[in-house]
Amino acid sequence: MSATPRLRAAAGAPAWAAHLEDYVVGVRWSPDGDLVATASVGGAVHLLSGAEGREIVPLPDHRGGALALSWSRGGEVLASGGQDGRVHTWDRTRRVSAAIPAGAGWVGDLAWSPAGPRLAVAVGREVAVVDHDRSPEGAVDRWPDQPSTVSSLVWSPDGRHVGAGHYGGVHWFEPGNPGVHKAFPWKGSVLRLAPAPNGKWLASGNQDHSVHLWRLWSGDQLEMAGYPAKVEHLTWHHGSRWLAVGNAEDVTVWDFSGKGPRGRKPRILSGVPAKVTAIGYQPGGDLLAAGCADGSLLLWTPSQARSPRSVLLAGGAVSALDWSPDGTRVLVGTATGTVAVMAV
Amino acid sequence: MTIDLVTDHRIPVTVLTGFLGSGKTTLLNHILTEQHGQRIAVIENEFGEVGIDDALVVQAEEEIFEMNNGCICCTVRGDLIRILANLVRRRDRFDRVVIETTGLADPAPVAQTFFVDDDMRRELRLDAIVTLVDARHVLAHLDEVKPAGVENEAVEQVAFADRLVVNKIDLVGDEALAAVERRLRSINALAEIVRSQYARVDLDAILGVGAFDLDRVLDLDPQFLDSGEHLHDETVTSVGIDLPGEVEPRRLNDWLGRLLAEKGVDIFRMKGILAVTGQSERYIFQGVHMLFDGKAGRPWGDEARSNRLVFIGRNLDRGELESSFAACLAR
Repeated sequence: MSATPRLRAAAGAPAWAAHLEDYVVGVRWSPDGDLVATASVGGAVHLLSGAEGREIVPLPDHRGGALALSWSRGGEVLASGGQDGRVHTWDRTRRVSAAIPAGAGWVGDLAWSPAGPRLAVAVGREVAVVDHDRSPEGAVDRWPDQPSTVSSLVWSPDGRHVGAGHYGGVHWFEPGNPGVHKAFPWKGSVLRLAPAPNGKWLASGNQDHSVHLWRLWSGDQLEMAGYPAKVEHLTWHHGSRWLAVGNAEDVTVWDFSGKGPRGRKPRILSGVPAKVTAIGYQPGGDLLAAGCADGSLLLWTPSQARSPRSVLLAGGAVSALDWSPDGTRVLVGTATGTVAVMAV
Repeated sequence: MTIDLVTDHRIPVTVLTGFLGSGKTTLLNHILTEQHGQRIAVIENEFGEVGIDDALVVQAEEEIFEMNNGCICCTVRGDLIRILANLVRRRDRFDRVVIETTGLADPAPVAQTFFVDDDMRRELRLDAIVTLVDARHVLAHLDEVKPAGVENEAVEQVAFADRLVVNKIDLVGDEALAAVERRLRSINALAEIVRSQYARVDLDAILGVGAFDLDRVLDLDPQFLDSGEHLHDETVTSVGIDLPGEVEPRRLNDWLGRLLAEKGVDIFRMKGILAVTGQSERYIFQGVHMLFDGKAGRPWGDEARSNRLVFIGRNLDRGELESSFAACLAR
């Protein structure tokens, strides 16, 4: 395991870079890889070509600030949300945008279903699902009065359930059922949810420096505590075997093969130069990308080596990251307003 | 000796507390009017009437999160973390943040947010907790008997304060005002009292205080009332200790550790300047509940070495605190 890393520091010049006006809070490739959407803290939402970063069409701002972005599964619709309590949708084939008033409070997270044209929206303490085919203007299902502001929204991989993280655990909802389908109570503040692609596990990164895990079918719980800072960045390998967690000083990779990570030690990846601020596993591949507060973008193959196989420079503290759907390029956004695409 | 001029670039945060009717919104508008050269972000927990157009005002709904770290008093404000994390990312940075709490807010989670959350610590600096009281009504609020297990928020807001603004002094006579100030002192012997009418205070008295900055703890001068004023059945009080000599570091550590573990829930604020055996500099500390911060301060030089500590809290046993601390002195 002592292979010397061959660092390609700054060797991989960005395929392209664009300079936006503000701290980038979110970047998302369209599912076909042709388009790139970005959201900025000042409220701007941009749509750029994936090949060269050219602006495609101006999209409306979110007054006060943009917070969330999500492409529908087939890439037909881009949705954004922000502090104005609105969801904006842009229909790619008809090239029209629409604004949906979502409710009182910030639209903190958005997630399109992996199974159909349904958009889950977290607005303040409410979760709503909009069926875009039936009712593009409003919610079909609403679950108001959650225990606290909803911090993170996810769909189960089969598209049947929506998970909402908040202070006090996770609520699992089923469209059509006005109650809570399943509650995963836990005394702590959930910041970010990540369901395993195989639907077996639900992971949460938490304010109290821990990662919590639920086995979805049984509700069994596991906790990985003792991280040096709050946990906001976690990602699953497409095969659901590995869960990577980026934190203040390192990246830990937990092994879920067999009976799972209970009693196992994580792999601790080396070479992390600064606080990890974004993380993502390669779609369909074994590469792990992590962006850091010092502007570096590291790539590992965690199943093979602890040291990074390459280090690229993003041009500013990395604030958001997304892999191209074909797994050949990484899109990064930075705190200084740069959006760049790097080939790996 | 070199003077360390490392500038703190973090954005200062002022927390404004006080009962409904004490004049918080008036004071807030006064700050915004007088500080018009500064960009100030205001976070409000109840609907106020901020009359200044260029201030950024964000409404927030109080969300108190207990931290899952085995410390029951370690609570933070989830709403503030969310809003402030977003604010500090903006290109148009703010010079100052003012958080106006509701009249019923517990100041502890607000204060602890700035020490417990990583992002808050890095980007923001809690400058001071400023509590407004209405000179005419404050004693009634402080004396209000609450059902068992319910806190008297007015008492807590006074106990947590770094600055106590006694407002509407024109509505009370000199004697009544003196009684109010004596009462405030008996709860909180550390806060500076500022008098005002129509919440018009000299802003230098409440902004740029640096109340949590250890470098600013130059001298502790607890303004104690040893004049038999403890006639009320007061559960929240200040206890000051002033002992010459030096403390033995291991005993001090044990004592502090035990004290915070056993009494941390009841200790709202504490500050101290200590002389530790073998250390040429003062040891300075401050704390909020179980959150503790300490470092070396100015050298003692030729000055007589001594120890001064102040605790503000609930059900503090002065005799027990004094004797257990005295046991830490080097013999």
